[in-house]
Amino acid sequence: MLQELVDRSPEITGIVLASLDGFPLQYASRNTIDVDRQAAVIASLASLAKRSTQMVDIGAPEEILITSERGRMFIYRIEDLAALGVITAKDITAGMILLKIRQMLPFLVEELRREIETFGGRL
Amino acid sequence: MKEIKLVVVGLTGSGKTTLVKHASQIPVVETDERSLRDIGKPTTTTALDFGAVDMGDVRVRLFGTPGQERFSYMWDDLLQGADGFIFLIDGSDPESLEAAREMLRTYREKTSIPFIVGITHSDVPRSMTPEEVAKYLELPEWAVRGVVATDRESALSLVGYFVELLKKGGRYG
Repeated sequence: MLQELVDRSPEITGIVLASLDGFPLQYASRNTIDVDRQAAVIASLASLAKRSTQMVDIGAPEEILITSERGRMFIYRIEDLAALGVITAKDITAGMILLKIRQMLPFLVEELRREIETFGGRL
Repeated sequence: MKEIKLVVVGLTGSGKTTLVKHASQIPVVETDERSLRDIGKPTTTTALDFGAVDMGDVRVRLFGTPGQERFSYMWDDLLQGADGFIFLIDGSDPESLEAAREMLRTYREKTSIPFIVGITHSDVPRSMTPEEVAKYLELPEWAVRGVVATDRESALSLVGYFVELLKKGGRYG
């Protein structure tokens, strides 16, 4: 699923799906990335964002956006199942990424739930 | 009011989050998430814990680290500007002692700030004593103390003991 999205989205350079406790579950990338370390960082950011928005009472975070010198990273917390990190070029339309991710999320959630059930609550 | 930053470190399950939670006077910032792998407990810290407690004329800011290796990138960040660290060892798990020694060695290579060792679960029968652990780690006995991290008084006593040591060493404020 992630590979498909990367293949049909030239603006996306990589996607990492991490468990909330920081393990890589799936990934697809045009470049070499240290997926183990990246998954841990994505999980940390998703967790920090959740606590931060809770403290100021603005509800659950829908999206974390990091804009860096040469690209962007979008992080989405997928319910209490996982966190998704999407790495993109810098000159992209953020709304388009969000749309693509939102279209994919229900399928990802379904797949994650199925896997968790299969492995008795653990992956 | 003077301020001290202490970092609470140790292996997974050594009681870092519990210690911060019980020593803190403010609601603790936790980043625990459900663990999908069997690590001997249902949740794990993914970024940090933060709490604070006033001790006389000193405000102590407590930062708990994630114990698992994949989150080790946080260790250096959390040590920035720290006045000392508390290294926790699960006293009821002698098999973890060698791994704890290795982790302590890693921290001592990273930083030269003062530290003490806290032996958690010290209320469990046949738990390792501070003296035994001090000998194993080749540390002076004053640097290793027993603690029951789930007990507020005990958690505060460990933090207070370290604060007093730091005051004597003059490395705070």
